[in-house]
Amino acid sequence: MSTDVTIPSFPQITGHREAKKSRVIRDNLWRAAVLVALVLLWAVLSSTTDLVASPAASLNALAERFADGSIYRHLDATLQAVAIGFCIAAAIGFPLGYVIGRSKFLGAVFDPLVAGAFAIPRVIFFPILLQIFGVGVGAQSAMAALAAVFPIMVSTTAGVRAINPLLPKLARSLSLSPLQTVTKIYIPAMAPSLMVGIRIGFSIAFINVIIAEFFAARAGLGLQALRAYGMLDLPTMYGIIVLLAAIALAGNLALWAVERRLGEKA
Amino acid sequence: MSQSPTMRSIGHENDVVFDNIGMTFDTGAGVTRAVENVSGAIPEGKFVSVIGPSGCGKSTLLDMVGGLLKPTQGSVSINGEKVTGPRRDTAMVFQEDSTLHWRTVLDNVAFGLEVKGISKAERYDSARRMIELVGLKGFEDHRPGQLSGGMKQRVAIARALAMEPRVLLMDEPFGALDQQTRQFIGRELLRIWEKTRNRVLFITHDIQEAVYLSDEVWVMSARPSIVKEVVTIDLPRPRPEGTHALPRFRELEDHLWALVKVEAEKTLGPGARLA
Ligand SMILES: Nc1ncnc2c1ncn2[C@@H]1O[C@H](COP(=O)(O)OP(=O)(O)O)[C@@H](O)[C@H]1O
Ligand SMILES: [Mg+2]
Repeated sequence: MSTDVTIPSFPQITGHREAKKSRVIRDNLWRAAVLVALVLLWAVLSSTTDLVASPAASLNALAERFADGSIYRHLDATLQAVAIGFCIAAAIGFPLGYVIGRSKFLGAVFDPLVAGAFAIPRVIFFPILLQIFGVGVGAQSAMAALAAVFPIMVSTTAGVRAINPLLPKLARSLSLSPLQTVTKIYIPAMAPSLMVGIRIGFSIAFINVIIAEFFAARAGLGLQALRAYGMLDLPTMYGIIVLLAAIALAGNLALWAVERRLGEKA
Repeated sequence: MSQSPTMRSIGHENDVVFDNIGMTFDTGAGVTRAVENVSGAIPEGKFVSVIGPSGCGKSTLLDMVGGLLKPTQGSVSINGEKVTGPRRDTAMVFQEDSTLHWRTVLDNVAFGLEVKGISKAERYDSARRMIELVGLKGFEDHRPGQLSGGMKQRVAIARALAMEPRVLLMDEPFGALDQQTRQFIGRELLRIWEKTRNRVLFITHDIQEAVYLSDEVWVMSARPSIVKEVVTIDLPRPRPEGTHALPRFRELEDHLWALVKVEAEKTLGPGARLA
């Protein structure tokens, strides 16, 4: 289970906050520098090969899609599929992972099966999903759910198992209701692993929606990127790639920030 | 100095009464008779310690009083009521860290009152008093991750005390601490207990600690365990710093050592250490 290392804070040490603040500023400056370097590298590459459009042309093409409004339908379809797929995966993955983690018997039965299923590239089932749901957001959502449910389940199971075994005992000795035990003990105790599950689940859902759109879709950013490529409209394709990267980055950063805050409490 | 527990009167209404209690674990692998035929009572306002070889059933006994385990034989009753599950007027402190790492010290100590439905103002009020009592004043907003092992155990003790339990159950609460810290917290616990005077069932493997803290020490035999002997600690209270050096303290300690050694050797062979 990978959680981010955070430095414990000791508020009584004076000047610590300031030191932390300046460290955050330094880190962010370096992050920005790496981004700029990547764009420069991209610019250099685009000048050496026809397979890469220049950053300026790509951003221009993307801006045009926004200006004429043609991108919104596709943005909508992709985000909807990711959101629906992720919610289904969460609704199934969290309770299932929790139950498997708490029961020795279910753990013994499902651990190897889940581990095995985790290794199957789930996109292999997409043609079947297309048969069931037809071409459209339904099929992409189902694809996202199928892909994201495993990492969510696995990290939830690991989280339950990592709980201090005295805490359920404490809950019983304090006569907590089953609901209180879940909301006041299990969820907060597992918060870091739940967040890892959410973050990885989101990433996997997103990746799988785009891949699924490559196969068959009525609308979607993956479909648009593929179409642009088919029409040799490389600036638009790279523009959409930039948009996809921005969405992935924004989503992950937001979740990562929540995760870090939980980590600081631990 | 000592008496056989079965010979004692079975206690009054207000006591914690063990009525021929026993526990047999039946796992698929085999049957373990952990506790057998324990009778006795913790009288009102008394501090009782239990010592005995490792694995003899001390925790099992405590968990039965706490309502976490249902005895397979006999029963425990508190104030004349049979224990059928965890009660609101008992509180437990465990050997290992049981603090909630995502909560501040204040919210940890107030936790028991919070789930009981006590208002925020009221529960923070008692929590603050308990935090002061256990010597953690100034650490209210810290999280357990920032505290030492000894401080975390104080948080757990304060959480139990905040419940104002009529029966306090402590399962080797200082077992994971170094010698210096445990002596220090032991003294603190005694100082606090002199004020609250609730009934305490205290499990330890430290004979000196048991003598210093208790009114009675119950010595458990090796499995299947009975309470082999009840040793009354007739040292005057309050017990100041020099108590350990009293001849009577030494006498009681030696007597308990002799009893425990016999039992430890039964389980582990001659020359074994008490653990
Ligand atoms: N839930 C359980 N299932 C099976 N055996 C148990 C269980 N709990 C305790 N035991 C067994 O009962 C005996 C007494 O355990 P315990 O009360 O923890 O001893 P102590 O606290 O004195 O070290 C041990 O042999 C232990 O293995
Ligand atoms: Mg024990």
